[in-house]
Amino acid sequence: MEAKTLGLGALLLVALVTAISAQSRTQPGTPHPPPGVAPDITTSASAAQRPRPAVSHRAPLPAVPGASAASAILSEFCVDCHGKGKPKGGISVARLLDGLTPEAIAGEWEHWLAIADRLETRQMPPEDADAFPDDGQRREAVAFIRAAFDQYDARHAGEPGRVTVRRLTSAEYAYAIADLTGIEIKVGVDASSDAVGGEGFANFGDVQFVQDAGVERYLEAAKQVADHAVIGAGPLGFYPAPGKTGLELSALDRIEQLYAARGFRVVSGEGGRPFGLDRYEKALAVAWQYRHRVALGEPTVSLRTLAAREGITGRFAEHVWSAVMRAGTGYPTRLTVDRWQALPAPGGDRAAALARVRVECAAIVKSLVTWPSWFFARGDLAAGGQGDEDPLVFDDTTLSATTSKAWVHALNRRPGRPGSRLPTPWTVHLSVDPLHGQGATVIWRNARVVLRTAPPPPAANEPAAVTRMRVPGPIVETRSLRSVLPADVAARLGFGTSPDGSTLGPDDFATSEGTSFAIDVAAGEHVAELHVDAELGRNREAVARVMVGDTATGPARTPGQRALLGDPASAGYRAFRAGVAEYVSLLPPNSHGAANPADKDPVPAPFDNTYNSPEHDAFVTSVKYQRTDDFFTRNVVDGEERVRLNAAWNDLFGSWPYHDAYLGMLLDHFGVTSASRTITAMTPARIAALPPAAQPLVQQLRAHHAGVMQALRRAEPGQLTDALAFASRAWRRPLTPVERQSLRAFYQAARSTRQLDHDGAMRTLLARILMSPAFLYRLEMSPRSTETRLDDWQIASRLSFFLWSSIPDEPLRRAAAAGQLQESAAIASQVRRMTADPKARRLSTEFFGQWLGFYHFDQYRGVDTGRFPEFTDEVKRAMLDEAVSTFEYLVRERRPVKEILHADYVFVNQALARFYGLDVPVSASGAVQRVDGAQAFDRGGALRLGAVLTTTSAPLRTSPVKRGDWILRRILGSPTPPPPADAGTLPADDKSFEGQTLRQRLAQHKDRPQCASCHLRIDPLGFPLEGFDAVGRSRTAYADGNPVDVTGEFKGRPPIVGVNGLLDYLEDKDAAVMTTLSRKMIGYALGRNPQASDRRLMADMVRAGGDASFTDLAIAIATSRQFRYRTGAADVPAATPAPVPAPVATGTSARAATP
Amino acid sequence: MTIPPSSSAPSRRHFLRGVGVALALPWMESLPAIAQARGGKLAAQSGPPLRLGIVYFSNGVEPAHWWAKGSGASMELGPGLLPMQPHREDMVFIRGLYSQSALASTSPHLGRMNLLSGTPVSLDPDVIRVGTSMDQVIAGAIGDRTAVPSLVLGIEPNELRLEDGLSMVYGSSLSWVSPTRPATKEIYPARTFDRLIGDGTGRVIDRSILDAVHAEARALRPRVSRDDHHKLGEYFEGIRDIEKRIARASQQERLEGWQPTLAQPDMPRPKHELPQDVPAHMKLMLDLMVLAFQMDKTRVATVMLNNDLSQMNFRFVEGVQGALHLDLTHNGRVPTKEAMYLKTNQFHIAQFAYLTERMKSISEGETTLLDNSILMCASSLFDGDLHSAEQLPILLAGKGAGSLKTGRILDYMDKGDANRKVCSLHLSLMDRMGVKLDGFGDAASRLDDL
Repeated sequence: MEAKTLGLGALLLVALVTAISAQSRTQPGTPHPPPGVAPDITTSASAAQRPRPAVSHRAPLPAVPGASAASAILSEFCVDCHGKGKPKGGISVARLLDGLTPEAIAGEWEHWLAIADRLETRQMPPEDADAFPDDGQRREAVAFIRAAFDQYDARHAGEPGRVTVRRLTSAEYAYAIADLTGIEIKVGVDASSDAVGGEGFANFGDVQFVQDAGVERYLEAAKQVADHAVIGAGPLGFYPAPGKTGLELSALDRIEQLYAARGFRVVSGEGGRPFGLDRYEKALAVAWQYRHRVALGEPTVSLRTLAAREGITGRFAEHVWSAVMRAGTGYPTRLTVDRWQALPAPGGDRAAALARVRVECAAIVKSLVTWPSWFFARGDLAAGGQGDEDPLVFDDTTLSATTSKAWVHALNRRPGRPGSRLPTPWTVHLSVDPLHGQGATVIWRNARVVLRTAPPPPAANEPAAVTRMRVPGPIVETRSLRSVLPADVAARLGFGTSPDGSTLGPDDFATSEGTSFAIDVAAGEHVAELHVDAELGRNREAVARVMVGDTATGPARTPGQRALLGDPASAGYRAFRAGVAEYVSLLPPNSHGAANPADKDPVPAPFDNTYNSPEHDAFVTSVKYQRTDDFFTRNVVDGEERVRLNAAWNDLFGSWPYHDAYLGMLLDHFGVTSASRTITAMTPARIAALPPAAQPLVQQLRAHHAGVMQALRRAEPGQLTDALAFASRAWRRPLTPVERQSLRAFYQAARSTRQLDHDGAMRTLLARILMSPAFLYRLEMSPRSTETRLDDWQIASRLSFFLWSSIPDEPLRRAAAAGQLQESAAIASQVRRMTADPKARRLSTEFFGQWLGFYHFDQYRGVDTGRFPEFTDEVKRAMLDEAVSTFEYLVRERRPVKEILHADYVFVNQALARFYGLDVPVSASGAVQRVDGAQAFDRGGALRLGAVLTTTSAPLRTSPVKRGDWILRRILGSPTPPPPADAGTLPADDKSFEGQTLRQRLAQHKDRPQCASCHLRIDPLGFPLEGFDAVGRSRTAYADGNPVDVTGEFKGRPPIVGVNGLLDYLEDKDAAVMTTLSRKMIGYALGRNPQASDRRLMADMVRAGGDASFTDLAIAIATSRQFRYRTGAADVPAATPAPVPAPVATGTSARAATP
Repeated sequence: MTIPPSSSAPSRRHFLRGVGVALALPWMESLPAIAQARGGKLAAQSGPPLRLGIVYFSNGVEPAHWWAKGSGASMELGPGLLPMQPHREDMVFIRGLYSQSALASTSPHLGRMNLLSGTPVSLDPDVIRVGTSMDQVIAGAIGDRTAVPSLVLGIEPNELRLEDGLSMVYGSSLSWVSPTRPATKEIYPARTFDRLIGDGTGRVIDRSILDAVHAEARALRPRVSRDDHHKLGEYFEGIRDIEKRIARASQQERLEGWQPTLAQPDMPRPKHELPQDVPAHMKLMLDLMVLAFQMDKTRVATVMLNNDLSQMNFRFVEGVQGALHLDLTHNGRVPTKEAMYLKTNQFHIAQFAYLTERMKSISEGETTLLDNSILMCASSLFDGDLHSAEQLPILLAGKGAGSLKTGRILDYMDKGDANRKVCSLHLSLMDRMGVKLDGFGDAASRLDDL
């Protein structure tokens, strides 16, 4: 074994140098170790000369067999050009030959692989070389290189390598904030703090610099985010509006969301909409199923289970069940209860029975909610229509029960239309609906037909409102009803006698049910009216709904048509009133009004409820909120939802001086001017000095205020706990006990030392959490110096930043907490879940965007819009969307990765389709949509993305060089060196090639040797894309009218013609394309450049081929050793040449002094 | 490395060790000496301090238009320099300076982005490294005498891409606080204004947050690798810098006897967003530079009018069409495009002329702000089209508080390579700014005759 011959000395030397490098790396440029660190290694001048060592924590193997022979061959044929002075192509074979251990070779792996490749493919030595190795020599050298790599792999494959801690990029910061808070907050951490390095990504620690200005931005941003926290009576949350306004709006939002999710309501207030009434139907059906649970085969099922199946709350199901099972309910609840009780028991066919019951339940609900509209005879209000904006209220004012009512019923005209005349005869319907008590009798006294002079006709152009106000003139003639009715009809009405024995006059009659008759009087131009006074009969306990109308049923819009005849003093009326109250509380037709009432909604007592009255309006505008959701709170939500609802209300009341506003209204109402007008000033003594009527109201308000304040205070400890949970999410791991303690102490100090209130202290705490390096940096704790397996939380974090550019979500956190992320299978399943998630769109934006060069394309300013006015901002945005959506689709739908180039679909919206001149149906006007079969119209894949074609062009013309370079660099991964500094240049404009075509200009490359070696590789890849102009549109001719030439010619190869030719060419180079993709993915995922120990992983990914999905490749990375392990500090030698001490300032006696 | 303790112990040394500066800056050793000097000599100073302002423009010049003849009022200027015509007597035209490491670099653009340090740009994609730039060396030495150690301004954001495999951070950064770390370039006028005007009072809460985060540094040390610790040091250092600034701002008294001529800003706070219009943006940034100097908020400022390899579309200049780098610099020697390229050169010089004019119009006692300043205008390339770096286009303006004789042409082209190093100029300028080094970059001597 040659190893032995090297001896101990050599091994020691290698170890020494390795250690020196490590020392140099971690103490860059510090000539002396810092105090407290003993210098255990003496620096050696040779350290700087060493080639980059590869990662290892063991002593490297000695030289590979065949080293000396290979070294001799390479020295002989390569070193002439690739020496140590100014090596050609920047590759110094001579320097490489200085280190022939597997580790040294791996440290320069890409150069060595290139050498092997050039030798094998006979690209080197070049044609004009003086001497060439024979085949055997070529084989020997290549075999040596391969053997070295095999040896290296055997020991080092999969080693994680050195990863510099990564700071969140500006994009990651924004995503993380969005995921943490659930809202989009535009903060000042923008891309101006980013830079790219490594494989071309901003998530590369070595290029992430911070200075105080950057820290200031973070501080500003952290405070801004904290400002969006909702700090109220509920749990900690975030809202798009900041501060107290955010608390108020978020509370309103939370209330409305609960209403929408759980509640139901018919029209109430201006613009109100009915919704959620189907919940009644479901609850009635649930109650039926519960009642017949045995017959339905589920004897043990609970109401709540059934409710959950129907999608209603358990509480609501329980309530409706108790309502329909309630004995002795009165009118009108009885109507519903009886009808439900009458539902048939299920027979043999349970499903059919349930279906029938559902139909009947729907009918029950319809009558339940339409009853008020019938009762009040008020249009389509309670039926769920949208016509009536008056809210539905049951109180003594709206019921307005009375023992008598005088009616004036228009006979020959429509009310409000003074000019109209109806022909005779006029049918009049008197309806009497007994609602309570037996034998209600209505006495109609002094019924008479009155003729009056007509109101003056409407003036020309008179507004309808004025016309409606015109009333008839004085009475011309009065005739008793009895006298104008035919004798048989008059007899039927029984003038002069009453069935209940009341005393009647000759023109009075009595009915105990509805009746109707026709009146035929010659009224001429006069207005005819029926005047009659209705009166409750002898049975004063009865209650009846009475109407006079020209149809039997009503309702009509005419006000005052309905009367509730009853004696408010009677026990019968009180029982009826109780029945209505029972109905409102048990089965209300609407559950509540909006939290912020509209100007037509009622205001609470003692304020004037009249629409448009000053007090009403003052209440609506100054007090703003009113809680009327008692039924909803008690009977629809319970448990956690009720807690949330109450918390939201407390937030709403506590977010602004609600109680002061309310107090002001009360004091104004009672004419109090002297008292202090804040609720906290309302001491018992001050309250006692108020007018007696005001005292209980103010007392109540004060108690309410105290309750709200107490609720807010009680929430404080919970929110502090929430803030710790927030920290745990932000920091992507559980907090240590010390951290928890220190964050709590920080909060306490803010309150005590800095005198902040809870709100202020919480916001400061949140900002402090977001300023922690644990949030801003992707810290991976590795206290030990050896290679360490990452813990579950670190894996979760790596996964989420790799695939989502953000913090882990709940499922990922749960998996981490459960210790599941140590298993490959579990990691793979997370990757599958995560790449299918909508958040994977970020992967497209970040990874594909930076790789393929369309990152921030919406801010691209390289197009001359004077030349291309059609290239609007809208088109630009759509192009970015096109690119991002293409790869989002590819990732989330697990399309084969070969579609990165070969996709047969394109994402466009109308504007972009128009811009591209596509003749395909596109309906999307905003976000882009997928159109399949795109290759047929020359689109699809990365090469034909508008954003790619545009960024690889000059402002005024295309650039085959840029496009060819893009393919070499970004797709094939074999970039050429930069052009020589004095390379000739091309004119800017394709109109001004001085008579030459672009191709003719570029052909000059071939004639200049210093250009040819690269341009012969670049240009043929760019020309096939000449079929697209500088802003990505298909074209067949240049601006000057000459046809485009889409042929790219490599020496000794059939020409590449157009995009399809180019795609065929790239398909042949599949391995190179896959290698590039693998490199980019590894670099992006790991935050470092691929290294020799990644070769096996890369080989696996390349082998997976173009049919693999992005998910497959991501799984390969995420389950790899390099992804799951981390190298500690001490065993990482310098990956860079050790810095030469003090290369800049050489002085020792310099000093700062004043000028 | 050590992360500095949160106490207010003075320590530029910690600062620089923290960033891993690969140079032994000797003046760090003499912090007590500085303090002493301050107490004695500085307190006696009654005149305005010297300021240094550097204006960078990318993509070089057209050599045929870049010349000057004669001296003083009779100096003749080439077409590229015309906007400086009114300021001939206040400027120095310097010809022939160069940087060997830039000239030798194989990277025609990024390899030459070492204008202010003269040290080689790392061509290893894994290693970001240039050299600490002279403005930052000055800021490190005298920055703590003002509210803001130095202003680093720009117009274009950092470009997020690689150029020939190298990070565009080189093309976007002129100032480097350490060989491996660019200074944060501010492109937002409003933020710049706030940084200058924000007095740090009323930042009790901020301070409490920063203190608490700072305390984490100690807890982190045993738990992260040393490399990571090193990287995190940048962050904690930033925190400390702010803490110090807050502390400094709450000390009312000035350390020196001289009072700036302007106590409150004489311009409104700029709008929050970036100006869409490039000339307006540049004017605003230059105004802020003047404001900073006039209020003595800082004494060192650099501004990049554009990034290297800028795609800045010059449509805003009458008669110009196309992007600076691709169309106008590399103009294929087409006469119409050459004419446009000249206009871009003139536009850049006009910005410098505007700055000169503004500073000349502000009096500081018997003198003007310009008299008490040195302004430098330069690009990283000479012939932009050829990426040539055998010499650099450099102009100075201002009398340097009596230390600079203006109205001159200094030609070093045939003085021998050893005597025409741009780093010698830097040494000379640093001398005047009070930072006396024996060597800087590749130079060990001052520029003759300056």
